[in-house]
Amino acid sequence: MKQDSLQFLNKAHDHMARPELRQHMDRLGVTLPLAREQAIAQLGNFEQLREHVKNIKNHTLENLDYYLTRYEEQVIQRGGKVHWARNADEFNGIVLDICKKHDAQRVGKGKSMVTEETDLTAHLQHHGLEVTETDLGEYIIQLAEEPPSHIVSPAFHKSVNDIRELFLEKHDLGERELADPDSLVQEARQILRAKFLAADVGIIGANALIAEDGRSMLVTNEGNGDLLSTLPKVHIVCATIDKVLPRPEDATALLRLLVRSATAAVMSAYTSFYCGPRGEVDLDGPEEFHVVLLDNRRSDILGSQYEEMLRCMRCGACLNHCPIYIGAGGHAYGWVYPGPMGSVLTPLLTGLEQSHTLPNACTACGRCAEVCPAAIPLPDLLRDLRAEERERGLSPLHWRLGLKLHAWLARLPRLYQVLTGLIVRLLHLCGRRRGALRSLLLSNGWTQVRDFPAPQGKTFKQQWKQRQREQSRE
Amino acid sequence: MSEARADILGRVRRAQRSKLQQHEILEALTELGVAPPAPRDAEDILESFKLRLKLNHASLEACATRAEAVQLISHYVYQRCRTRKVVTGYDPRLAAMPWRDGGVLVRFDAATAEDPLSISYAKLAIAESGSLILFSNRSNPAANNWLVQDHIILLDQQDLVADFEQAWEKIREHQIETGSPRGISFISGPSSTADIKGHLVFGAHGPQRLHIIFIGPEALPP
Amino acid sequence: MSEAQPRTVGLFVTCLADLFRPSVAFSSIALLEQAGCAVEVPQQQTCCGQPGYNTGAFADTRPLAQQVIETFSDYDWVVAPSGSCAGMIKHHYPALFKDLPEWEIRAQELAARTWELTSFLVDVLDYQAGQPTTSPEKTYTYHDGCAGLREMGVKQQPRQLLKSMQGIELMELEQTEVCCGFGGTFCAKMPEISEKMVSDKLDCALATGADVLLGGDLGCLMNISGRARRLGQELEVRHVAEVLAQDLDGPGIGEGEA
Ligand code: SF4
Repeated sequence: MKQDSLQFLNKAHDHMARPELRQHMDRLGVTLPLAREQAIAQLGNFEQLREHVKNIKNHTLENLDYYLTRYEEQVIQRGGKVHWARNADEFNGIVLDICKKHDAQRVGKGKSMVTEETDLTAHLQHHGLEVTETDLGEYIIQLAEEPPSHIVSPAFHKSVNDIRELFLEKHDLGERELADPDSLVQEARQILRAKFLAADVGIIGANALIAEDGRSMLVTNEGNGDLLSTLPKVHIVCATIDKVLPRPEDATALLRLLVRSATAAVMSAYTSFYCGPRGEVDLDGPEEFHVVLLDNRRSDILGSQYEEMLRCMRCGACLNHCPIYIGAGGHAYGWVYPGPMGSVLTPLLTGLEQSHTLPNACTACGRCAEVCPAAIPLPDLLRDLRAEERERGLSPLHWRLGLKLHAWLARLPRLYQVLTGLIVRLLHLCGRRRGALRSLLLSNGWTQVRDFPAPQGKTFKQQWKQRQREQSRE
Repeated sequence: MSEARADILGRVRRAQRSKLQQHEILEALTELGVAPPAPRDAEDILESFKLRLKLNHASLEACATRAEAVQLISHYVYQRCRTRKVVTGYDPRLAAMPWRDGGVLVRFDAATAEDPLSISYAKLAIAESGSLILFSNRSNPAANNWLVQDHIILLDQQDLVADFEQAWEKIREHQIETGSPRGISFISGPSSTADIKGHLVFGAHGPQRLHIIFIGPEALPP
Repeated sequence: MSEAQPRTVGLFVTCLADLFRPSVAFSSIALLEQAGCAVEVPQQQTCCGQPGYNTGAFADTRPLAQQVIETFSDYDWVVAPSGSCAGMIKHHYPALFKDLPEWEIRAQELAARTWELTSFLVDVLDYQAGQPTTSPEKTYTYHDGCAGLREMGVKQQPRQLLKSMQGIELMELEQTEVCCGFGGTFCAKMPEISEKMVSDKLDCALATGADVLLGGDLGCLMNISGRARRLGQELEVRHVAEVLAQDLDGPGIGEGEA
């Protein structure tokens, strides 16, 4: 996907300039956290379970080569093929080759962030294939020719009316009302049903890969991924190397956290575990089964100070709870992954040069880390990324110098007291009548949107000294 | 094997912190154990299962025998779809049911897009999540779960377990007896989507309705 | 603890209270003394180092942290009228010295003695004030600062104190656990998003109908009052310590001298 993460502030501005969209997002920013809170309360032992899943995930990452090879063995034993891709180009090439080998014309796709990362759809289309997104949210934004704005609900930013107009324009079905979500879903079902039946290749993502039996876990409510795993003659599972887990029990323990965190439900409608092509005893299923495993810098993250990010299960809770995501909108982040998890992942996967604004889109309020079911300390990782930004000289020079000066001065208490005493005195004099200053030298960012409260008068230390002096005189 | 594979695994090996032997890895895993017990909506697993099904937007009927189940199905099928025709897989339990008594015409096959309704027999069910477990194989082709508008799943009382962990234990036993299926699905409600502004709509791609028929002596209300 | 030998508290004034609102520090001292502590205010203190730390200037922050660790090495407790400065000392100092074991130990040792003001009064001293003598004239709401809330576990302590000491029942904010958009340097780096966040917070505060917004962190309070002043909204903003100590002679934050 084309990246413009450095345009974060401009894109956030565009987002905020649309009052309807802003209201819509604000509402979600209230209702989604409330719903999640209830679902987590139903769980009763969130902390305990989160700790368990974290330990399992860490154990798997610590022994990743073992679990990956074990997983591969199992897939092969069940008649499937495993392909390895170092980067997006290799990944797209592998999938295209599989399609070509089968003379495929039509591809049905399930929701998969990995393929967003490699921009697989554009690549296949460029080579003449017809690619249809079948997850309803993905389908909507495919029609709208927009990138996803949320990792769980890609059409998060679309209103009913947006979707209605889109369907009326893009589906050649004559006069009709399409006034409510029900009729929109029915229409999409009708259109997409034909696509499922005609697809030569079904491409889906995976929520986990299970080393014990080679199966991959697929979690959906719509059932589109299951249809794609069943009807087309070729079935391709796309995943990254960090998705493997040892046992099926581990996948369903993660599922307990994932579903509640993502949708506030206790369980998704469909949770399936597939591996391999149809066997002799089967009446349906694909003739060929492939898994394409993507690295794309995950092996760099492994063992680094950012390793914890590899525990991410893509639940989207950190997005829903981030006031900056809600305020700026998903598109502001300028690539595949938005919100707090995106602000960590995007620099790690694409380089800080392309994205160093993102780690600054954080007040360190800690709400994301609090709700993250993978217990990822997102604000800490973002701070570490800001440290790298600084070290590499990517952050603005005046900030670096200003803070250096502050740090230097703060180490010289005497001088600090004299200088701050003078400044405070001055600010007090300028602002005491009104109580606050409308503008202030070197504080554009602050005074652009709010007044600067004036100091009360002398600094505490000055007053304290005075008091001590008076007391000793008495 | 491919260059990419060797490269990726090499990088992974260099980066990862542990250099354990296989048996040590497995020991470490065993030590981590399984997840803490799952929550249940009611003490009794049957009660809990029923509650969950309701919250999952599935409907439920209960009866004591398979013969009675045929009557319930006959009624449901006719009421819903004005048809007598249903499709099912080659599950021996389904094959042995007295369909003629209910006037139900059964085709044993994989569903096609023309089939409005299918019947499956669950391998297991899970109280924690209100899920029915189906294997995708001859006894229940995967298409039967997702191509139809109405999906009926039968469940024997003895196949209800409390949570995911117990389910996997039983699944392992089943696989030893009957072989490992291509797919294992936990079905926990009709197909749905909330992608349009958070409105929950049923029948996104798969069944619009999920109907469970629970067979067991304790199933009936006292 | 015995009444005869009060244990000493080193007050970490915080740079914002020192420079902008000394009344917060004086109120804190009054409260701590009421609760039976001997309070000292070491003069060497300046800033805990958050601005640099949060922008990733770890090397520049370490000397500041070392200065704080040294300055406060002799007190039984270290108390700050700020969740975020206390959180900095308690959680981030140890992390800052991961590679310097000697300092890491000292940082952890300081962390164990460091508290946010209201949490110290309630959780450590179990401070029971006498019944309030007068009933409150104004109505109050409360902003939970993020660091206090999530790093220091401050939530019911200020509420409990306001009720027991001043008879104040808060009119709670909607969305009270959402950040006000201050975020240290964030508010200056991303003013437009910060503006949205602080406006949302202000709207919630005004919606309660309360006369006064209280909080435990001057950063948040200056942000919210600054926005209220810019929009010409009537809302008195104060640090919770001022109300607890009834040090209310001066104007609220960002208000002019009458
Ligand atoms: S970082 Fe945590 S909260 Fe965010 S998507 Fe990943 S798992 Fe979910």
